[in-house]
Amino acid sequence: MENMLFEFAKTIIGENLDVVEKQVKCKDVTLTLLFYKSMIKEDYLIYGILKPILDYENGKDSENPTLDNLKNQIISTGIIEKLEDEQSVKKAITQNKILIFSNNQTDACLSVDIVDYPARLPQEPPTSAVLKGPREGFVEDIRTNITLIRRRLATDKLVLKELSVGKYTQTKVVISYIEGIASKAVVCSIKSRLEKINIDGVIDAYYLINFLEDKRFSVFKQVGSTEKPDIVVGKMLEGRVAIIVDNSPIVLTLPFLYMEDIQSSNDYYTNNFYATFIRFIRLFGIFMSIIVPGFYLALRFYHYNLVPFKFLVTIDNATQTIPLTPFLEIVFLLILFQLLYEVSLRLPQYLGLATSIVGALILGDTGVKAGLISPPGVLVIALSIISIYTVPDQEGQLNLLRAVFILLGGGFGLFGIVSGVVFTVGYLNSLNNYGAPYLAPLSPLVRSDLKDAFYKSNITKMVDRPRSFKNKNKVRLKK
Amino acid sequence: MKKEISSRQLGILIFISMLGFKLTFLPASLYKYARTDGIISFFLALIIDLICFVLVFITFLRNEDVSFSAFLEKRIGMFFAKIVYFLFFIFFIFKLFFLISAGIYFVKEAIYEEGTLSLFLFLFLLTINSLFLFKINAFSRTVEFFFPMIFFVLVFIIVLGFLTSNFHSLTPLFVRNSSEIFNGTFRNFISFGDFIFILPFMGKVNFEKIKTNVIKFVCYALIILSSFYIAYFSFFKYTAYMHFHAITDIIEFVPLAAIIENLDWLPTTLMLTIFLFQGPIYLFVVVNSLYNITKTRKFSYDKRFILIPFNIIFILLELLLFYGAISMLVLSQQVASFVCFAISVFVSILCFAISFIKKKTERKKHYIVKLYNEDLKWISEMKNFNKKLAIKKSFKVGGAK
Repeated sequence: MENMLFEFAKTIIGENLDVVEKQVKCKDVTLTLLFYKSMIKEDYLIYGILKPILDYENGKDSENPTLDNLKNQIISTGIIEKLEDEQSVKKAITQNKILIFSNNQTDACLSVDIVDYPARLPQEPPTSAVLKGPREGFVEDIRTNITLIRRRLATDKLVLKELSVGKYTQTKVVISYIEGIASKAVVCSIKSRLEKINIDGVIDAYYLINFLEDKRFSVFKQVGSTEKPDIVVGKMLEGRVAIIVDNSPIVLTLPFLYMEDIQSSNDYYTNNFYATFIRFIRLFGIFMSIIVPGFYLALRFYHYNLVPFKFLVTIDNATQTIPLTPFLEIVFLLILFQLLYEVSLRLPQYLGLATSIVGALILGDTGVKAGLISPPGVLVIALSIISIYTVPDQEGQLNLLRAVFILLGGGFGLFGIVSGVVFTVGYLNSLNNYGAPYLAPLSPLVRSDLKDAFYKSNITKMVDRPRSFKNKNKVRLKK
Repeated sequence: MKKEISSRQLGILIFISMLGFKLTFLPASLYKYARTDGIISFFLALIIDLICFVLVFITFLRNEDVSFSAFLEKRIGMFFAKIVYFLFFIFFIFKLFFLISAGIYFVKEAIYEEGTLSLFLFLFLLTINSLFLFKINAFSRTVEFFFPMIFFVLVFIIVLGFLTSNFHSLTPLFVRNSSEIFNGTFRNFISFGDFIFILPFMGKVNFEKIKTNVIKFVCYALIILSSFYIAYFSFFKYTAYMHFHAITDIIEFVPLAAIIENLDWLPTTLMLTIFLFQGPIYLFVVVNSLYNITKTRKFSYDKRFILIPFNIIFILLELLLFYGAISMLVLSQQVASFVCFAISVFVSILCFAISFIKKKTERKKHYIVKLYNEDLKWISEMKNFNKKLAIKKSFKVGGAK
């Protein structure tokens, strides 16, 4: 009798280079194994599947092996499932599992999961280095990432729900949260948004961000992202939901509030007062990075009376011979920096030093000496650019905002900057992230949440979970 | 009804609305009419303002879940409700026009001597329109966000003013006759009465701790304004008429500030921020009033469309009239002050009165219900029966309290 499932599987799997069809005789039954050799661990195949079958062949048992025997008694490795329809066979093939067909049982087959592929080991992520505290980072393999989270959350309340997204990539996406802490409404909303995605492929977690945002055309980040499992677990304990995507070292977290980027994992492994001080520095850094070039232009164009006289004379002396207007000088310097930045990202590491020399010495120093750019201009741009990296997660949006404020400061002076700041804060306040006001706990003011937002309080004082966004079980510390 | 803003945010909006012109043009203008007794004119206006505020706030508190349109239409009918809206519209359109004129004048005089004002007008309108379009909850959160900075800068400036003031120069008071003092009050009333904006916010505010929050922020505003006027009049005394940008001039002329050097940007930034926040408050009431005047039961539209003609008219008016900035400012102040005084007092008393009268008739209805019915089920199904009121007043309703 013809094995329909086998024929179907062969049609699906095709005649690719790495396809293996292997027949094994066991008593009077012929077993056919169908798999991609590039996606399995050979040791498991030999010692976990083939050897037990051969042992059974040579054993005392005279009965022919059925699929149930194979599943329950003979095969000793991997996750084994019995498949009885074409859809599940197709799914098993896309998940790179081994399929086992038997010639005396044509209505079903077995799938064995011994998938294996090269994967990086957890290392310290380059974007979130810490002086003290855990150094492990997520990797591209979703199983490792789940392990890193589960190792830190020894509770039966940890929920991991799997979805497949991407027509061709069938990327595994796992929604993870702690039952009883995360809001069910938020979980359902995330799940329904992910289920609605109909896209060719999901290569990385960033592909999902636009689908998860409440306002899709916004320059501001609305989904949290991190490479560190300790941060994810911390956020899950606050009631957030984590989204782990296969092939991505980035784990997304929701709901996301603006103040999360001001927090760093370092803050939790250091003195509270110092952490608070550093948070103020970060906020100041954001302000400096956006405002300084625009403010400099506003002073140069409109409000030179606000500059202390001696400083004004210094600036005037330094800029007298510059052929460019202050506005063009600042724009020129910014473009120059952006060019150097892009070059340094794409050049091989050993050429990095050369780029620094070209940037700092040749372009900077020579430019000043040649009278093309002025030292105050270079100082202003350098200050603004350095400040951005106090909050590296916001680099993109701060760069864009800085450009806007250069236009406002140059075009309208102080009034332009004040209007720009008011408009920006107004816009940020109009954003809602899964029911949470984006600028909470600053506006609306949530006093209890200020303990871990604007400043870092003692952990013994942080009795409640954040109230700025939806979560359950508000008390996290019982005295 | 959806509660869009918290009581704290309402308190902060009232705080912001109580500042504005009072920190810039008002002191010099008061001096013009009442000379050194301008400070008395100010406190007189503040007392009238406070009495009206109490009436408006009581009206507001008595109607937690009712929108202003429902409040008016149910109690005085559609026609009279439209007249009240019209009064609101007139009041706040004057305010808005004055704000924009004053704002641009401030921008021109205090910071840009050679600027292209049409560009600044464009930016000003763009910002207040955007804040309006972000909706009232986002706007009130924005004001809440900036409140601590505004508050501390104000306190800082007032402390600086106080430290160098000579309080003896405040006396002698009452050297002018009463007509001059009253004249000073009424001719500058355009700077007062803003708090009536809270009536159109009825039904949108979460009532949790509302009394505490609103009274707290009103007290802050009163303390700051009183201190500011005492500092201003004791510091400038006979030259008060020269200082049209009161708050900026305090910093400019106070010797202590000069030690720190170039702090002018601080009050300038503060005033620009306050002007930018007052604009959307006025705009919200103007748009809301105009919408309620023009809509009928069969015809309604998106409120945002009102912004288009509004902006065109304002740009034309300002561009045509502004270049005689001071005369325009003085003219609008003199004409609008009497209108504003009349409207704010009238509207406060009217709303308070109709709120009070209606409550009485509601109670009568409940007495009738009690007389004829003792069955709880039957009563609870009755229309217009306020079960909450009945329980509060310990009426027996079918045996249950």
